[in-house]
Amino acid sequence: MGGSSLGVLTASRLSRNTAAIGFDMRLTALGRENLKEGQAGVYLGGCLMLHITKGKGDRGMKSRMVGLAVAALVLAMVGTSQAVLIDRGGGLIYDTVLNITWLQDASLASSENLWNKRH
Amino acid sequence: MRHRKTFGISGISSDGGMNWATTEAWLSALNAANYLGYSDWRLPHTLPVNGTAYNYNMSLDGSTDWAENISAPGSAYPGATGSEMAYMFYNNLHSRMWVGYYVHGDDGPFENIRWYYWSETPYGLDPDNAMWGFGSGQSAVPKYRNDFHAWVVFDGDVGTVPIPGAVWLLSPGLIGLLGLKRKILG
Repeated sequence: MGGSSLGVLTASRLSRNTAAIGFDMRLTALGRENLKEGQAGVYLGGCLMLHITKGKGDRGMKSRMVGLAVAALVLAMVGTSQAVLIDRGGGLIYDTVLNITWLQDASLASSENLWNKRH
Repeated sequence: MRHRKTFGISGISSDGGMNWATTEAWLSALNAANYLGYSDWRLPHTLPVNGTAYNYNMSLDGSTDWAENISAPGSAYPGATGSEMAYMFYNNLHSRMWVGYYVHGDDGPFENIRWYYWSETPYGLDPDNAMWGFGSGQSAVPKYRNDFHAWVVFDGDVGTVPIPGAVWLLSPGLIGLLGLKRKILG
């Protein structure tokens, strides 16, 4: 389940919260609220790429190379910045920020294996 | 339906809900069983969000320890790590609270996520209460409630770095080459 989804929201609250939630979801769509260091570069890199590849001829080719390099660098940064939760296998997830290992099964004592069930 | 891991402890609902005392007994049994090879499982803890002292006044911006949005981006202490469940909820799972209502983010790599969880931290103003909720924000919860769940952790990372399978596959070949070298030189 990716991105934001509306959880519990009653009709009476909807109008009051819609703007705020819409804003929150927009940020999620942009990825801004999930940003770690370096991920901002995705958008910066994307803009640079668009800008640089406007060139023509040799200059354009050189610019495209630079653009590709920037994009590659950004991708590399994204790869490292998302490594906050690392799946160690065997049902163990390492949290690099808290320096703890979580059990992948968030309710081990349950006889029901339910995804997304919250109550 | 799956095989539930009660470790011989009774009083756990089919959904995995249990009161505080049962949770502690279950946790002890989990460690005694050396589950997945570890015997230092614990519940997440709830330390002061400001890093120094608890403030149990209620807030919506995560500025106190009885609050919504503790550790959330844009809150009073964004990314605070004192409350491990709060960090999980608002940062790892990208969820938010809006005055009693929640906006769910995602489940990340986890499964079987429930809505109410115990932390290992007692409520400072009343020992009959313990800290945490989850979807309801962070608050004190009476220990008799039996609909709270346990999401266990242990400190640090897994202890061993596995040797890649390719190394084992290459080993006979390397030994063979060493033998060949000896034969040629000898």
